[in-house]
Amino acid sequence: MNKKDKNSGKIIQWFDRVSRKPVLTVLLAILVLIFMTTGILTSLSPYQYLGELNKQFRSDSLMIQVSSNALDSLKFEEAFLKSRLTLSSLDSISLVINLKDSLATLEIKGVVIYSVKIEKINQSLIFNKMDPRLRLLEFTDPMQVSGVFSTIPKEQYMVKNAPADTSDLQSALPVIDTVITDAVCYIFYFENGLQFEIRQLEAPSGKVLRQYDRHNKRKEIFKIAGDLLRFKIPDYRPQISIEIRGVNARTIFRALPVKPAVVLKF
Amino acid sequence: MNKQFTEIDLLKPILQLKNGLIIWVTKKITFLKNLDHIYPRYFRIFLPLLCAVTPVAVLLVYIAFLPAIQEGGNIFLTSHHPVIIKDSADNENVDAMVARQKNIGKLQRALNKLTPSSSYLLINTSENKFQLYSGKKLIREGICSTGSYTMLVSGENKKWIFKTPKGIFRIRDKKTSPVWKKPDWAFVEEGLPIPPPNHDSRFEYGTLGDYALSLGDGYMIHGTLYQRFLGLPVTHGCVRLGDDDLEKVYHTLSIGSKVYIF
Repeated sequence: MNKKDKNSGKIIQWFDRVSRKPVLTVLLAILVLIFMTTGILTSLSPYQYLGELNKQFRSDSLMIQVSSNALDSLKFEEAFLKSRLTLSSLDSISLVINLKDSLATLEIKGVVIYSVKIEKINQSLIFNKMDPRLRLLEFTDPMQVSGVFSTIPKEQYMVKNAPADTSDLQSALPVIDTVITDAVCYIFYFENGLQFEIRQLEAPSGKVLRQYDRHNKRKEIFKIAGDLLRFKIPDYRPQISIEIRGVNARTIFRALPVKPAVVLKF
Repeated sequence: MNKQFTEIDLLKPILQLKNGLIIWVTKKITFLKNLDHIYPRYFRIFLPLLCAVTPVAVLLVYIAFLPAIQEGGNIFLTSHHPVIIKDSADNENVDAMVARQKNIGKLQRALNKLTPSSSYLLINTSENKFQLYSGKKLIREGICSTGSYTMLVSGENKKWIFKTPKGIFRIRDKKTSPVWKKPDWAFVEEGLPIPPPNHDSRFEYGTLGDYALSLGDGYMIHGTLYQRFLGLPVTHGCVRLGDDDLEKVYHTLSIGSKVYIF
């Protein structure tokens, strides 16, 4: 056996030895390490979010004052009414969500023009852990929607070509929008990071809804994964989801402008 | 003692590794070939594929669970009370509460003032329903017809959109036995030539019902011959009401009354 073969033999032995178990173990360990690191970073994001709010809260000297449960509830009511008055100065229709009384209303210039009962409310766990006064600070002022994603269009036109003459005239009735049975779901993205979703109560199904859910999930995953790739704690976006009847959800969506103002009351 | 490294010396480990790898792979293939009698052929083909796909699949499943992991992070949060709350005497608290309550009353009154004290009409274009209010009291509700969201396109590069405008309007004018002066689109839609502005063929009697309330810009609240279409979005932008509802609306609203269309 010459020297070259001897060396090759050594390497094979080493590689063979290593390749059996340790390589697999190392790979597995790396994978677990990645999972753990990203998992910890991801699960830290609500903590970081709350920390930021606390910081803001502490810097607001006005908030450091006499406090009690009864007084807090009065503060919430006062802040809610103030926000509605602020909305009344706008020219467009606004959405007022009263989670406490389970009511969703449309208002224009302070006049309630539409009111529906909220059948079901789902919200991120963070709202239960959050000091109520933090909610007052962060979510009671009118919030501006920065983006919307929905299963239905804002306005749906049917194009009809004018007949050339009376013989070409068709007594075609337009496709009536109310017979379209696509699920009505939409989500508002706010500038302060909150996501507010309105879903139809009736058991929704169909391709449109699946696409909608997939889009939301994908958006969320990409956002988190993007932050993780930069070794950053992902931004936390608390979400509130309400369920109302499909017809009501459609009316609210169609009545609101593209980027409406919304007021929340917890 | 300093050893002089040549290029061959530097390449030696790489060459050794290369040769080693080739021998190792050959050995593995031989090993797999010998497994013929133990594992079926397709298993040997799919085994490496499975080994490659599994970690990727695990990673993808994990990534899909990231939002859930993020939300799960909330479980570890404790309730936060970051505010420095002054220890206060009860009377101090009571004073603060009285002041708040007064302010709430003031705000509530300011909001109430924004709702018209006179009669007003709400038109819901999505559900094709209307509600007639007198102050805060609902006095009538029912179905109506609003814009069809049809875009009429004429060959002459002209187009019209038939939708009911949204917002706050006021009653500008009230008429009994209104006559409809047909606009150009009414002729285009029927495939007829457009007549001169005040041609006899433009005036139609009875089409708008017994009453019409003008909202400006050619939009009106009026009656209809096609009662069966009430509750459906079929109009060219006007609001159509049933005969009885129209009569009530006509007699309740006065010129200047507000109409909220949404």
